[in-house]
Amino acid sequence: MSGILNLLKIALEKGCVTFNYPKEKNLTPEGLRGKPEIDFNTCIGCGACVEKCPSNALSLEEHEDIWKLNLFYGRCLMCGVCEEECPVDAIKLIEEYELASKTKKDLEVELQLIRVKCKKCGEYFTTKRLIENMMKEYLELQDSYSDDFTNRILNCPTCRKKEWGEELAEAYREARNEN
Amino acid sequence: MFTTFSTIISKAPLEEGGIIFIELAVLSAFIIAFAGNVSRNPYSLVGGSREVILAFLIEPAIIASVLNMVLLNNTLSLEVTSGKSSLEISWLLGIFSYLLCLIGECGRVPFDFAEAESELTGGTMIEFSGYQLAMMKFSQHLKLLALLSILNLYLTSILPIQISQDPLIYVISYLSVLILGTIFVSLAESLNARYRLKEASKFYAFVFILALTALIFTILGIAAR
Amino acid sequence: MENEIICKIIEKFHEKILKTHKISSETTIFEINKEHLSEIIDYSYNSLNGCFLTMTGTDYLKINSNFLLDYMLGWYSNKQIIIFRTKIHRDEETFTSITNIVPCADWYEREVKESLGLNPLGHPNPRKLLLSDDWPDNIFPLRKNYKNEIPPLNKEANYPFDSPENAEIFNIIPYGPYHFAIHEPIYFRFYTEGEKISKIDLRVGFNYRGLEKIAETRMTYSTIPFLAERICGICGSVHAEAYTQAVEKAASFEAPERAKWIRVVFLEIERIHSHLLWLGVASHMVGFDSGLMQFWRVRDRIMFLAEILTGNRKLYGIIVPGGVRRDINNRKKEHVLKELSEISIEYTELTTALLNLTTLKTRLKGIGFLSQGEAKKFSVMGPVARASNVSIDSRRDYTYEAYSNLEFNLPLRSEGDVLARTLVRVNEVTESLSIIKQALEGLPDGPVYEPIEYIPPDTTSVGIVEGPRGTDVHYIITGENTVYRWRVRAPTYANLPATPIMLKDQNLADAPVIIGSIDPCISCAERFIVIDNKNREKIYNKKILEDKI
Repeated sequence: MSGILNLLKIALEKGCVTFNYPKEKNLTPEGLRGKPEIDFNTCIGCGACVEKCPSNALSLEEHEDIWKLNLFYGRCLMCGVCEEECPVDAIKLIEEYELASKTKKDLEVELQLIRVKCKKCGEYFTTKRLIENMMKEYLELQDSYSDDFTNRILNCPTCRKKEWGEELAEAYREARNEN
Repeated sequence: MFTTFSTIISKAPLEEGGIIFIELAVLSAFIIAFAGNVSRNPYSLVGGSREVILAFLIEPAIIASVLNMVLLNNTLSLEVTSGKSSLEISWLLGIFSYLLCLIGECGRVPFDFAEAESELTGGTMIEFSGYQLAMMKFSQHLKLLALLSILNLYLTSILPIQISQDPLIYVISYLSVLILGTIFVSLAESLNARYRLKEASKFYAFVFILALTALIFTILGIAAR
Repeated sequence: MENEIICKIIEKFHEKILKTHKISSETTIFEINKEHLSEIIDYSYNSLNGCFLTMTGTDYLKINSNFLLDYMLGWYSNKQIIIFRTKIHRDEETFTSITNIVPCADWYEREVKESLGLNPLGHPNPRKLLLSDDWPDNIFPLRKNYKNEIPPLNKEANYPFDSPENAEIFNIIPYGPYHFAIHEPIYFRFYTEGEKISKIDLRVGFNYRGLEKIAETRMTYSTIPFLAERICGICGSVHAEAYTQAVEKAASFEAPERAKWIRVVFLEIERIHSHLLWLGVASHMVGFDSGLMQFWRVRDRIMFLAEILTGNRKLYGIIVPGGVRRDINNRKKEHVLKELSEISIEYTELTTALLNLTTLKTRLKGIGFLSQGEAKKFSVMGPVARASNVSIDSRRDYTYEAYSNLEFNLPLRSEGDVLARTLVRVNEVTESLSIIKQALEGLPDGPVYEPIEYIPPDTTSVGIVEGPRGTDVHYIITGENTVYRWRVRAPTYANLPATPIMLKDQNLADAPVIIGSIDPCISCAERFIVIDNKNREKIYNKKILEDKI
């Protein structure tokens, strides 16, 4: 009998503890790992997040002149690895957790990044923003762009390799000739 | 509105209104048992047999307490009465044992093993859906209402709630009996775990003794008069 | 110098043990021939009172054209784990079953049979365990040459249920695969006389998801923890921790000191919320919904603490090889300590009130009895074992993380019934509350994460964690960039085979709470997806249903 009375006492004391949910929404503490949101203006399309995403919620699609960064919330674990990996802090987990939707489309986010053409061969390679970011970071280390940097920054990796290979071969030939 | 309500209550179940109420109340137990037996579902089979066992367990106690009530009031009609107006031990015991019977009779939690959501996933109820399920559930709630109406009879012997008086007072007191009774049943429901059949039989044996004691006191009181 | 158990085994079987090598402070591998296997395990398990932790079959065909069978036995009181490793040549594909001498090896051997195609000779119960009925007989998913391109056969097959001799006098009551009380897919078949359960048959495998295969083929060391914690919805970070430990041991890596203490905080928060969840569910199983509401009210405060500390209600994605991913700052620490003291008062109030409830107590007392002998025989884990007076706890015995610096008691009961299991859990929550307090107060300074440089391939290692439900064992063989073999032994896998014993001759009304008393986590135990496994039974087949409509 004492148990019943004590329980009744506790139940009356505590009363209703649930929130009036749709009206009261401040249920989340600071630092909740909710929905990851991509800042479209800062993402450079480097693909670091895609590489590390454990559930393949993020994917990078290659097209002729653009890269598409897809984020599908249906697969997202809200683990926050992408946030940690992002070099420019473009992806952030915000305190938003209401992701329910009637259509799958609503859960998909697509970001299109413009690619740049290689100065030499004319093929599309990386994104424009990535190049811009590299240039910005270069300026943080050096006072001004070196000629070498400005010449090569817009060469695609294949051309760059070719060029370096040619240079190396040149240097080797010269060295042999000197001998 | 109040007057029509009270006239319906007083006219409808004829002279022996209480008996009809009890019959109706017990009927649903057998409906559940039959429904359990006709389906080939093992859960509802078990549920049906449990319901019958429960009905048998409560029977003696409820008969004793209703008999007690009849003797106290001299009648079973709902339109009454020439009751005594003193608070007696038999009256108290009777009302208490009747309330305890009510919980089991309505299949509320300590004794809801015929339905037992977490054991039999609803017993007989899983065989029904839609309006049929709604009717089943509705009948359970009506049962509580009917049995509480009989409780009202008990109270006529002590409270000024005869129909012959102001209908407003009668309706208010009738409704308050319903509400208080429902609160009692709900509290018992939410503050207890479900019993097993074994414990239920012990419990109702105790309630039967309680009701019997009340009955004996009443008979002794009548004999002394 | 050497452990007592090792000495005894070596003394007795010194010419039969081919090789021993120590892989960590408490784990040793004994390589033996398969002819001597049952003899040695019989001695170690039955005479030396070992505890069967796990058994793993590995397809080592690529490396040395053998299958490996690893039987892992633990001696909690001696702080020792021994892996008996035996090789099976690829042409043989058979081994001697030890189920007759070690009853709890039943499931493990059946699993090896299905997943690798190694046939346990003399197995008393060679039915399917995890794969669906229409799975082709000659395709074994955990072999390395398995290709995921076989469509399901869609043929109807009848699962051979165990039935008693005079089956017609019994009423057959199916419990599951979809049942209110057991919220996960598992199938119990009760043969009842009236309300008494006379015979029990148990079928699992409705939830096989093949997680181990996914990890071995598609994931990397750093992403597997996120998969591991999704083995279970309740004790997720226990699995992440066990995996992490296994990887760290393989790499001979020590996590930063601060990370170790923070992990203790997370693991104990998990234990509390899991136990409170169980207390609520157990209340619901005996029809006491107020108990459910009250326990879960307290639980939600714990969940909120987890949310504050890790940003996730379920402590997901926080423990990774190398450390933890979030630090606890001073403000959070103060908040948690304050909240914990409030919670512990509230919790004590609640449990004293609820455990004095007559109806609740009568429902829990004296049912689902498991004696000490049977608990040892079936190697049950965690609170189930501790309620039968078997004093095992890997936090104390195979100390990991910062547990050696913390003081805690081990609640033990000797009754062995459901009430004892309840009380063990109730007391464990109190202990956990004090552990969190100690861990937060003693938090050392330093980094919380250091990357692991190199994980050598072909290393066997074991992660052992005391989860809320019992000892969780993760066994890995490392490979290039990812695990070569990952075997998860969740505690429910050990506890579930003991339920038929607890259920025998019990009342049908008590079945849910008895099954519930081991805190079953079926997804944990199975880690496997069955495509469409219709339960075609006499009781409820499709035709009867159609006729009815």
